[in-house]
Amino acid sequence: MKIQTRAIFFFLLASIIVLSGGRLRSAQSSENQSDTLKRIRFQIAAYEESAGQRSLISETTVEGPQGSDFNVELQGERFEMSANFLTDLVGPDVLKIRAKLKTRRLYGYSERNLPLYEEDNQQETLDLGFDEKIVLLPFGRNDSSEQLKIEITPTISLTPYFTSGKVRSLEIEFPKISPGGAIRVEALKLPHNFVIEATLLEDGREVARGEGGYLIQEPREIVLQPSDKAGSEVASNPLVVNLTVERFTRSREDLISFGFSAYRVDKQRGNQRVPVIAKGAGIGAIDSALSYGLGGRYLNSTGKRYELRFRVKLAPN
Amino acid sequence: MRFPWGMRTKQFKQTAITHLADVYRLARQMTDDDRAQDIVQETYLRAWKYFGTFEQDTNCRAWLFKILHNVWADQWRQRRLEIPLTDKDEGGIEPYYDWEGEFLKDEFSQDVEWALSQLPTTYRWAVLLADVEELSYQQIAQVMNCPVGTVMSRINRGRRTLARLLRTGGESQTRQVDRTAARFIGGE
Amino acid sequence: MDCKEFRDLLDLYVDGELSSEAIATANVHSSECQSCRRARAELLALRQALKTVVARHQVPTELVANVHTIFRSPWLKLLLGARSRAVRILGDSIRRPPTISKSHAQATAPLWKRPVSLPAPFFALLVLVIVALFLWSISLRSTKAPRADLAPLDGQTSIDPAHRRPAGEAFDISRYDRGQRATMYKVSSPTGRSSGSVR
Repeated sequence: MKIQTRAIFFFLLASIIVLSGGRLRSAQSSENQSDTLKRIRFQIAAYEESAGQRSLISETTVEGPQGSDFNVELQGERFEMSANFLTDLVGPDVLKIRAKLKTRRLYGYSERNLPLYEEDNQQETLDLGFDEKIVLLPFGRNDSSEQLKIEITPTISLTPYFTSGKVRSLEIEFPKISPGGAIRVEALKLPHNFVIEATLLEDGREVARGEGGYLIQEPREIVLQPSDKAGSEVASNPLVVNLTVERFTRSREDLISFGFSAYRVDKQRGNQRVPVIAKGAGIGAIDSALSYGLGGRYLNSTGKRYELRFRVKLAPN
Repeated sequence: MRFPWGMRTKQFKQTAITHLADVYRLARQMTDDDRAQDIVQETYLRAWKYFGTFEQDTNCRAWLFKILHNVWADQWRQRRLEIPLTDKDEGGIEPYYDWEGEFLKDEFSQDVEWALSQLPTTYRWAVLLADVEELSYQQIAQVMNCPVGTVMSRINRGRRTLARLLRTGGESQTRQVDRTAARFIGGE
Repeated sequence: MDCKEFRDLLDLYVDGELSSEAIATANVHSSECQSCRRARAELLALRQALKTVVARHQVPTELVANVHTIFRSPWLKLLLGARSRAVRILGDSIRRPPTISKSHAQATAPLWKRPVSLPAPFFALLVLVIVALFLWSISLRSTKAPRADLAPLDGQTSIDPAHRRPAGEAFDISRYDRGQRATMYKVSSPTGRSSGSVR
């Protein structure tokens, strides 16, 4: 009996250890999983507020991995609005929302029967917590009894898999469609994070290099650090590049387009910035190299040929 | 259970659809292509809905123009900022513009199109129904839902206004108007 | 008739609205007076120019197609899944079919064009079978995975709700427009206190 009791005791203990250990492990792995497979759900609801009453006109939910984007479009007889939202999870509980609003309103007709439009463009960047929501008033604040309001509410969803085990990707649902399709929502999942390598070549030889991580549509500067092979002129005039990745286009070959400007920092004149390229731009495939001849704009005195080369890569997840 | 759909469709095609081109061209003179298509579609929707009330021996074209005029009035007249032309005709006989030989030039038809677009809409309807569609004054009165005397006055004033616009010349006015439009559209 | 009378009646003369006697009188004056004859010719030339200008616009093919869908059979429309406002109109017409008298043409039309008579019990049975099939197909679908993957991984999802049947009647957002500029801000939810940038 004693042996049996001991055996039972050890068996129970072992079971408890195994089970609790497993649970710990799975908790950890699910935490890791949730970090990498965090899904964000946006509820986009349009309301009419009238005389203190609120009625729902349309509702759409967009759910996808972090970095999912969506567009909200309104179309009326005399008014149209396009609102583009880029979303990025920049902290455990913080979303960075970059919004671009474009509105177009029919103003009237000219003497020649041409339509006259009033257009407006706005950009807004918000850091949004999951206890907050965005309120968009397409027609602004007014004192009239009727008002259209669009609310965008984010929540975190932790169900990345279907019951079949397949990973869920971007999804969009329309619990309530606006009458006549006046309000449309479109969702997109495109890369937001990139790595740009910039190198300076002197007569075809690399003499300076810089690299930086880029978030789409966010400008950032990188300094090309002179290497050991760089001469004194290059070392005392490092090149600085201010670059913005503007757009990612998904096609047969994924393309990114960017804009940049480049400066030479003259250390011998109090780090004065001398423009080398003012408004450069490029469109290239991922991992391809784009080169720009600098001519005599960088260093005229050395008599050498200088070239600025970029390589754009997708940031590792 | 009976299915007489085919009969009605056939009659509609024979009597109403045959005038689609005329209805569209009239609508096109009142507004741009997209809106013209929209109001023509709405016109035919209403015509189909009320086809049972149409008397087969009467003028279907005039009936369609009446529906078109109502649709246009419902949807577009209120939305337009109309800049009325000053009518300098205060009675008396105004000599007509001497057009002899001008019709051979391509620019002239552009001037006519421009002048037509400048006419106030009520005159434009009356002139188009009379000169292009050749409806009688009585039919025009039914289309536009106004007395025959008003129709006569609108046709008369419409034609004289057209003549005045063509006489004063389209070119200088066109340039001036285009600049105004560009300022509005391009400015902030 | 003098020139003033002729000019006063010119519009009616050209539009054929004068009595036959007045037309005859006007014809005589026109033959005798060069300037009045030219005025008549000019007005007729204007009419012709207007006709030419108007005739330049051709009917777009898409309009022709759209207009033809208006009177398409409702069964064909349902089969083709057509979406148009005409469905509501056609629904009305089905509930209140227009009275069209029989004609000789109907009786002598080919067999496939003649109206079909179906006994009521047979029609009721047909409806029941269709409803049963429909319900059975729904039950089959409900045993599958509840949510379908609507987009490929890292792809673009664009499902335009306007392509689905819109709920409700015609709705124009312009009715909320008071000419103000669009604005956007964030609020705490669910208390609704405002924070962050406000325009």
